[in-house]
Amino acid sequence: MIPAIGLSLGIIIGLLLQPAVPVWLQPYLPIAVIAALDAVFGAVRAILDGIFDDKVFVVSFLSNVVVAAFIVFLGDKLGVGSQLSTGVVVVLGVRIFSNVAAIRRHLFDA
Amino acid sequence: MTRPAPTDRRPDASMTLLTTMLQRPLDPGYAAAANRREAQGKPRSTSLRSPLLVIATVLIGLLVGVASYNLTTANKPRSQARADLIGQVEDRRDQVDALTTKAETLQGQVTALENQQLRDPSLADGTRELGAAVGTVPLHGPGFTLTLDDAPGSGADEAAPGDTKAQQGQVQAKDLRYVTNALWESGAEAVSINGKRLTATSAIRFAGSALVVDYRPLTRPYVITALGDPQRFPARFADGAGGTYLSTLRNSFGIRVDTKVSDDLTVPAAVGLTTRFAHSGDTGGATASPGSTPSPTTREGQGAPS
Repeated sequence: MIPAIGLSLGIIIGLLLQPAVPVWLQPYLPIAVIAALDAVFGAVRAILDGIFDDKVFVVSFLSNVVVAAFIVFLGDKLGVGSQLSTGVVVVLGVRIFSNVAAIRRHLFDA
Repeated sequence: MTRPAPTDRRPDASMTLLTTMLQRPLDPGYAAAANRREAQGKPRSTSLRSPLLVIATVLIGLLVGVASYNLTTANKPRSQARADLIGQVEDRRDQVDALTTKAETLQGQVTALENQQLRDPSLADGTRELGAAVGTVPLHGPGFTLTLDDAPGSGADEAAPGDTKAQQGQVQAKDLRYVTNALWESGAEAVSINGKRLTATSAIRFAGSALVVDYRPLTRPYVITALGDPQRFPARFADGAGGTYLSTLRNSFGIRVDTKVSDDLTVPAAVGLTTRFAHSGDTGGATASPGSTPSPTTREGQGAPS
C-alpha cells in the first residue's frame, strides 16, 4: 500500500511542478520510464512470490535506468540511437510482459 | 576423436540470450537475497514500509510524471516556437492589413484635397486622368473578371513539395504575368488581382510556394479584374494570346478558369505608390502626384484612358 501511495505521490508532484527537462535529456526520458516500469513490475512479482527485497529493488531500478540511458547515449554517439533505443524497449518490454504474466498467474490463478 | 554426448548440449544452446530473457525475466537478485535472509534466520521477504522503498517509489513516480508532462507534444519547445511564430505572422499580417486600410483612406483624402486645391477645372481633370492611368484613384466601369484556380486535387494544401504532377496543376506567377500582360495588350485600362491594383511598378512573383503581388501573398482563387471597352476588350482578349494561353492552361493542366463579363466593376486605388530614386523634373506645376511617374517601357499598352 505504502509503495503505491509513494508512486502516485511522485506522479502528482511531477505533474504539478511541471519541471522543464533540458532538451539534451529528453531522449532519455522514455527509456528511463520503461526501465522504471520494468523494475516496478519485477518488484510486484517478487512481492507476490514472497521474496521481495528493498535493496535489490532500488539497485535494480537505478541500474536499469543508468544502463538504459548509457545504451541510448552510446547509440547516439555511434549514430544508431534509434535502433539501440528500440532494442532496449524490446528487451525491457519482453521482461515486463513475462513479469505481468507471472503477476496475473498469482492474482487470478489463470 | 570423441564427440561429446548429445545430452550435454541443449538444442537451443546457441540462443542463450533469448532463452534467459524469456524464461528468467525476474531479477535473480531477489531469489538470491531471499535465500541469504533465510540462511540468517530472517523472513524471506522484507517489509514494504522501509524508507528506502518509499523514496524509490516517489522517485519512480516523479520520473513518470515529469516524462509524461515533458513528452506531450504540446509542451515540446519546437511546437511552442512554431505557435509563437504563427502568432507573430498573424499579428504582423493584421498590422499590415490595418496599415493598408489606413493608407487607402489617406490616399482618398489626398486625392480629395488635391481636387479642392486645384481650382482650375482643367488641371483637376488632368490630375484625375493621370491618376486613373497611374493607379492612384479607384476606378469603376465595364470590364470582366477572370478567376483562376488550381486544378482539382492539386491545391497547395494537398500537394507535397516536389510532387511535380501536382505542381503542374497550380497557378504560377508566370501564368498571372502572362495573363495580365495580355490584358494590357488587348486594351485593359485598369487591372487588379485579388483587390490589388496593378501599376507600372507592380511585380508578380513566386515566393516559396506562394504567389506574391507587390510583396503581399495571395490566396487561391486568383480573381483578376480588368476594366476596358465593353464592346471590344473582352473579345480582343479572348481572340488574342491571352485567350489561347488560358485555354492551354485549362486543357493541359486542368487549371480552372472562369470568365465573367460585367457592366460595373470596381478596381481599388494602388497603395504605396512612390518612387524612391526618381524625381519629377521642374517642368511646371502640371505634374500630377509627384511620386508617381510611370515608365512607359514596363507595360505596353498602358495608355491614359483619355
